[in-house]
Amino acid sequence: MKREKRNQIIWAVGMSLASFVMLIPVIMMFMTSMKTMEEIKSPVFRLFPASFSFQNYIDAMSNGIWPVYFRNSLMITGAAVLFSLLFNSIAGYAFARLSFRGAKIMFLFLMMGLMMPPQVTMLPTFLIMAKFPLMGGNDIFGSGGTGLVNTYAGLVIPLVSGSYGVFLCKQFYENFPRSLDEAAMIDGAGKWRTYFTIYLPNSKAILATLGLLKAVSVWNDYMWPLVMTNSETMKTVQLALTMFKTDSGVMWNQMMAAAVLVALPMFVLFLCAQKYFIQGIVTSGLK
Amino acid sequence: MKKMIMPLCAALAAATILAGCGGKGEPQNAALAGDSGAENGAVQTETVQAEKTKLTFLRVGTEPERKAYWESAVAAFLAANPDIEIEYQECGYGDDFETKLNTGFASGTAPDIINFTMASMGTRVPLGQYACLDEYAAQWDGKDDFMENALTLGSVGDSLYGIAVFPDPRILIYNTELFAEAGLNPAAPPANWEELLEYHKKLVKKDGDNVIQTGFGIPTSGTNMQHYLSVFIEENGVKNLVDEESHQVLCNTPEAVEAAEFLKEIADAGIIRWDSNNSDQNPFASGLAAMTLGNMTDFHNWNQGAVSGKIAMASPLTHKRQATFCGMGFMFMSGETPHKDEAWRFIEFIASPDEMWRRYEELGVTPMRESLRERYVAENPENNGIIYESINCGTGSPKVAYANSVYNAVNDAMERVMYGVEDPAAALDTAAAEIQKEIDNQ
Repeated sequence: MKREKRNQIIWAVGMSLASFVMLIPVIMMFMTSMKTMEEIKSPVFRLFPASFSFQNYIDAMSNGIWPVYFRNSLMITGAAVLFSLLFNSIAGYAFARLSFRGAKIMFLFLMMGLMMPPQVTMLPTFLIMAKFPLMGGNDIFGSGGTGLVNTYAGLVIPLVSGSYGVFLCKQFYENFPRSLDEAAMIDGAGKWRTYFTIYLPNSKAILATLGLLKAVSVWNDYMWPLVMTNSETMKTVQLALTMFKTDSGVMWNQMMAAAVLVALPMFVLFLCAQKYFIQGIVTSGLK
Repeated sequence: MKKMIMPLCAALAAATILAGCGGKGEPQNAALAGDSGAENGAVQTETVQAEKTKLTFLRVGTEPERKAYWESAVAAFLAANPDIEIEYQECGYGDDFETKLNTGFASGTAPDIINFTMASMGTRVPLGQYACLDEYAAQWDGKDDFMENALTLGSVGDSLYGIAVFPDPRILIYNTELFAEAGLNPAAPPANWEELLEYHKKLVKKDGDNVIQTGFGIPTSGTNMQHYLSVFIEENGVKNLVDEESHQVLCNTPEAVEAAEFLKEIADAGIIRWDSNNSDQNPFASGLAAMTLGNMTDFHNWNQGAVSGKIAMASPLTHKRQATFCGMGFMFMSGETPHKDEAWRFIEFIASPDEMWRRYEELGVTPMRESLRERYVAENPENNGIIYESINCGTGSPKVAYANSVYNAVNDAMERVMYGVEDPAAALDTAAAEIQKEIDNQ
């Protein structure tokens, strides 16, 4: 009993230390956001600021049109998460539960997408968006205008699909008992109805996991919005953070203040979806 | 049929929502799109808008002050050119800007006008991404008035590709208080190498073996070491680190080695080690160095810090000739733009005397026209003449596609020299071999 308790204490202390190590960058970010530039530049490092002041937050938010940047990021993240959950879960269900010709080869191609670095697909995807027919002044053949460049659709559409999400959903749905499908079939439900009335309502854990992962990746994405947008009013929060990087140096205090605010929505989202996230990891075999 | 209804409905709903997303955040740069005239009738407005040529202008950097300047400059240009519409874009420095530009050129959506650095010419001119401006410059009234060196810096070979807008010279800056303490005349900064070394030795203070104050503050590591070497090799008569036209490596010529040996002599006489990647470490800023090289922003920042009111600018040193390093921001015309005439009109407007003077008043940017020189110097006789002189004799980064390899090799070599790992000749020979390898791979 004593030994068990001792092990528990060692475990708790070890995990607390590990958690603290993981928190160091966040703590540093928060503390730097409270410091003046003189304190940051000082050759003597001090973790805590001389005085806790939110002036950097006020200054940072006074630069640029942050409500617009936040709105853009929220809209893009929201739309990308919503559509990717819908499409990925439908595709995952199809691969897990329906037997159709070419399923294996299609899944193989899908898995190849997991191995493809985004830099490789960025330019072709950009071209597809820029040459999108009948959009942004383009004719039916996709020329003459800018297509979906600098639009919400252009930012969202390429993010909607995703091999990872399909794979995750397939793994999750494969754990469902076959008897569920049989019972649905006996009751006269078709494939769509089975999916919408049986599978989807029982997918909270995987959808929360996938939604959270997607939301974090879209919210933090820098490269795609950088390439796809070219106006102030379409900037996302990640792009806006670069405004604190000038040719004469980085305004670390304001950048860290803005970074704290930018990280906040994802922090809150993770706290809300934490329970389902862990469930989803356990049930889908995700590591 | 019934089975098809569900997926069709889902697809329709998705298409409808995504189409709704096709909108843009706000009407883009409505103020920049030109006042199409509320006074005119609706029909007339439509006609004018239909005839408008739309240009995109991408500038490097996101500083709010410069953005305000560019937006007002674009607005002023549009007011005078109602047949043109300009979409203003900006992007941060470094890889971000390169990525943005690369994607634009690769997809045929590159901006028509680009404000970017001199170093970019090395890679983008050979690719045809920047248009040659000779044809326009030949008919340009402002050419004869423009600072000759600024035109040279914007040229590759004999062809003009960029019109200079933002000069960034390295200026010799010194601490008058430390000069006075060392018995030197604060009004007579060093003018040549001999004086620099003499002053440096007089200004070094040691506590035992530790240097507690240095004369000429030069870095011992970091990615800006090549700027310091460039200044001294050019003062010693070398064209640049490499010859842009013949692609001959020049960083290990006898004159270049002599310059590196001179820097080593300064270091041996006593310096405080610092990394040029971190300008905050520069001992000049804290009053521990009496002289250094810095740009106008450094001067401004230092003058607000620990050495406020104690610093002054000095003319570039002369050895075999007077020289310094001078970076430059240019206006480039895309080689792919179908609207070359309109793009040139905007570039010409930005290079006009009025705009130059406005840039000086709003951003402190040195006007680079001979007709404005006197007026500019009269505004601040103490410093402006020196700044103008520094730009006029400045040479920038070599405009070659392998410029980054040159910087890396020279920075590594100078670090080895400064830490006494290798003697200057051997270190620069190693750097030259690395650069030659890169040239051979091109």
